[in-house]
Amino acid sequence: MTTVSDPTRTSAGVGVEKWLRMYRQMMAIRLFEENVNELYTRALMPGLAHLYIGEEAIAVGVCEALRPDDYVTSTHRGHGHCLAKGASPKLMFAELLGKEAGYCRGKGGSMHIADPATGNLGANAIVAGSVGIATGAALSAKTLKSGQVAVCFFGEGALGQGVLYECMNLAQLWKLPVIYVCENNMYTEYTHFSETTAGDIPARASAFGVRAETVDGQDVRAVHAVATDLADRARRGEGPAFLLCNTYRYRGHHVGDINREYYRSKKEEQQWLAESDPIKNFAEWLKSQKHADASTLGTIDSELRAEMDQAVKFAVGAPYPGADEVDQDVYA
Amino acid sequence: MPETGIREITFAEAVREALAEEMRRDSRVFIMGEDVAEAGTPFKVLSGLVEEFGTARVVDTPISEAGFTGVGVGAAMTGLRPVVDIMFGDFITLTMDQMANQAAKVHYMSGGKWKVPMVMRTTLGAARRSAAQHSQSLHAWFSHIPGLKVVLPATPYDAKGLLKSAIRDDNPVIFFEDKMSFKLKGPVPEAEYTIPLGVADIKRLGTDITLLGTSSMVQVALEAAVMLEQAGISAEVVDPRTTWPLDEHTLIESVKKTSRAIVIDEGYGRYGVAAEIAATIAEGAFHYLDGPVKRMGAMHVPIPFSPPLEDLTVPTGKTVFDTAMKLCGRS
Amino acid sequence: MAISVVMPALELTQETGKLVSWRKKEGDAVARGETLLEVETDKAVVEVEALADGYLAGVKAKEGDVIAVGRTIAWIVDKGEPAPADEAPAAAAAGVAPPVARARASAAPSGDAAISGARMKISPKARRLASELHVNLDSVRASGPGGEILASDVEAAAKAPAPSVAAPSAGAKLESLTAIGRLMAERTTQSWTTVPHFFLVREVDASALQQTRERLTASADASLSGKITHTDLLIALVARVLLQHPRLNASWTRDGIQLHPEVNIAIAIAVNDGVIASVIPSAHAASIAEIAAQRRDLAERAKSGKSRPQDFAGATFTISNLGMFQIDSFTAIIPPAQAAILAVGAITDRVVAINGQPAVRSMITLTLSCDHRVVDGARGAQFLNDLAKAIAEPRQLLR
Repeated sequence: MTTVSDPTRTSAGVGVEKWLRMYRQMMAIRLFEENVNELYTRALMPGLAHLYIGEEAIAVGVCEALRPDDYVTSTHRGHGHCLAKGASPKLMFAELLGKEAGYCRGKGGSMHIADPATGNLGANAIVAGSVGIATGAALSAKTLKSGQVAVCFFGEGALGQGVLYECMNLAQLWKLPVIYVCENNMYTEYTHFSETTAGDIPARASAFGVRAETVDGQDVRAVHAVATDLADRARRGEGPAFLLCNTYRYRGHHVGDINREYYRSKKEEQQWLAESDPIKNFAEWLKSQKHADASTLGTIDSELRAEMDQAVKFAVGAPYPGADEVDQDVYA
Repeated sequence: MPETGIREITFAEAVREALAEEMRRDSRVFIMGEDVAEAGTPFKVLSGLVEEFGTARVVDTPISEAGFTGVGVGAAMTGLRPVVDIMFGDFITLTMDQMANQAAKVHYMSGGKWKVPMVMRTTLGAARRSAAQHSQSLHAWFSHIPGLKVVLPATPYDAKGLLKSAIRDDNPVIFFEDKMSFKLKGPVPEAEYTIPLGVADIKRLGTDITLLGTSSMVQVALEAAVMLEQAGISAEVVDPRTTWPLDEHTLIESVKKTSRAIVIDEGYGRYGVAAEIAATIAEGAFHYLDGPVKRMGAMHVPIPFSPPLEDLTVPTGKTVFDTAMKLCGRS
Repeated sequence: MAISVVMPALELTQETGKLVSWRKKEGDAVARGETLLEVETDKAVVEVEALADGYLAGVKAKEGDVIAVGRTIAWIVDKGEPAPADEAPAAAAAGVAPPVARARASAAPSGDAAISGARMKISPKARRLASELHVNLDSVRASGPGGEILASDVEAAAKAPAPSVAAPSAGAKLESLTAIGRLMAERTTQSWTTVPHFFLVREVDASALQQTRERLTASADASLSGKITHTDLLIALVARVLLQHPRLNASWTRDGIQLHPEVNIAIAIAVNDGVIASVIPSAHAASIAEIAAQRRDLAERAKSGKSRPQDFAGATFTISNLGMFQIDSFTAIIPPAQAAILAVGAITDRVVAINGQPAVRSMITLTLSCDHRVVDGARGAQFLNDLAKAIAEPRQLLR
């Protein structure tokens, strides 16, 4: 059942507009995260910030294969998934700064962005914490015959959690429309995944009979192609899938993780940046295919920069929740 | 019961009726758990449901408590109203992340945008000679977590009315059933009714001492009250019925009236539900107390297998009676 | 350097003081010795003086507040200096209290001032009922399983017929209590209901006392320019005799009997609202002239409501003289934390037997009230006997 996606499938049925949209989405995530980094280092952002820089092709490639009402669950490194599924940078920044205007009225923060309007069931700060939720959403979709698909994003660290296997077993037994997207960015916090992960990763899924695929997570076209296949398949009632995306976390585990040489070399980082930047490579491809020239892409970049600047301004200026908010929404 | 429309049924039948009625009323309601379908659970509480509702709504699961509880959370968020069945209360330990970190937090963390209208049915109680991993009463664990509601029915009437309310509630509700009460018979109206969560019930009126019993310990308290009456002491028996929301007002007012209180709960007495209720009374009725508020719960040991040992670990009518006599200066 | 202003502790049993008024307000300059505030204590409204030059700052108490003694209520600071946020260390705070009171306070066990009922076991409900029904817990029989007083015990005590208090008539006018009146009521009730009193009565020939008084009053000594009273002489004699009878100059405490090294004689002085007891400290060492002068000052200040905190500090024995009201003899209630009180009647000519023959002598009746926990009959009698001898021959002690 394990297959590696075929790059030749990647262009089928995708027009220029969609390619440019993917570029815009990836660049939006990159710029959003750079702003988060700045807000955090300027001490304007409380808490922790886990940046998605370097992994943009996965969130965008998968979410562009989904319907707006499809569900996603995300992780502590979740800004990219939320944006790719359609979240507004303005309301995300507000949430990251703990402001009342944020997606969760300031009560969730960076690791818990949730938005029913974009099918976002919530980012989850427990590793593998949302596997059950995504599988349950797929059960609802199947039971209610809504035609929705649920995508569960998680990092390779979640491979250590038993609940993932319990849920994959259930999903396959019940033929649920759920796609488990494993983003292997190679580092479980500060530990190389080879030190924590035995055997073959996709084989863990195929052991349950779950359709398993492996894809280059730095190639948005490849990710999008295989995600489209898996989503269509799930929608047809053919059951769950497991998609392993090999990728790289360009920054530290969180913003404060600056000195990383004790667990990975600068040389390794530079190699990934130079050879495998998903945005840079995709831009080159767009230009080579004459889908866009430098000025088109430059216009997109500057539009996004302006949008992010405005969003940050809005969030910084927005008020904190009042004290009476603290005990609201404990119970429905 | 001579009244029309009221018959005597067992606790198990009351639970089954509540589930069946709610599943007929609302097609989003379904049951999921180990051996819930054809087996009807080891206690046969659910017997017959799969015949009426089919295996799509009475769903057998693998032995994966964390997995199917998590699936329940996600299904509840996205349009269904699951009743997740955890066979023995001891197994809730396996569901803790799903309940304490996911179900309890989703509504708050999302700023009120997502809801988790699910019920977890499980059991509590010793005295079945089942040893330390099938005998615990762990409802204090969930009662500790904001975002969860915890229901402890003591009679068939309460079980039916409270379970129907729990299923209709938009929050995660954990419904603990005492294993030894499944065969307990009691009057239950034939007509539709519900009991709101967070309303205590005075099971017996009295003037000299309040026995606050939960779940399995309500019958124990009532037994003690009969013995106390013969000794000339009038005991009031109050059942909070839910540990959260907690009807503090009724508990405190009863103790203000009687000036003495014993809290009896089958969870471990230390750091548990009995301790919390005792503290609530001490705070709310302090100037009305004529003696210390006593806690009675399971002995602070793993529940032992051997019958004479197990019988020592849980409060009985006699031990409650003795404690009450002492508190009333009558020992 | 900021100096705290604390609610002064003025006597052994005082727990709180009521702030009557501030004479200075926040930010005002104050000079050492200037009156800073007025405090109503058990006995009187007293003026509290500033201990240092500076500026009043950090005022934490307002007029009308009832404040625990020793609590910081304000600070005297240098110009521009902020008031410290925290309570001053105990030593600094005690600096405000007069030296005598400080010595007493440090010597007294902490529980000395405990209110009635604090030491007994009592249920919360019983305590509340006792307060609501005005039942004195000292008189309640305890029936609880651990010997504690229960609600039913208080209810039973409340139902018991009140000894002598007739129900007020319908048209009775309610006179509100002043602080002095209320505290007099509380203190006498506390003492009368908790201290086992007994009384010793002795008639003494006061002729020598009278002669001594006349002689001293007529003396050319400038220091004795004022009038010497019988009370002055009695203060001096009692103080000197007490040195030989430490049990009479003592306090009952939970941990034992506390013997006081100094003799501080309080004299009961009638004022408008009741009675107050002003103190002559170290009366055993003071000359008769000093005692007379102090007694006069105390009385003047008491009657004009200008008593100072130290006027009430640290009494160890009290003399109450109703001679001026032509009372022959009476029994007095022992003030809290003292072991005895001497009630002095009027000096009157009476026929007495002298060597088997009737004779007329100036006689005085002394009644000693003793706390039986501290003083037994024999000890009390020995004291009274020695006092009678001293009165008969005052020169021995007064020189």
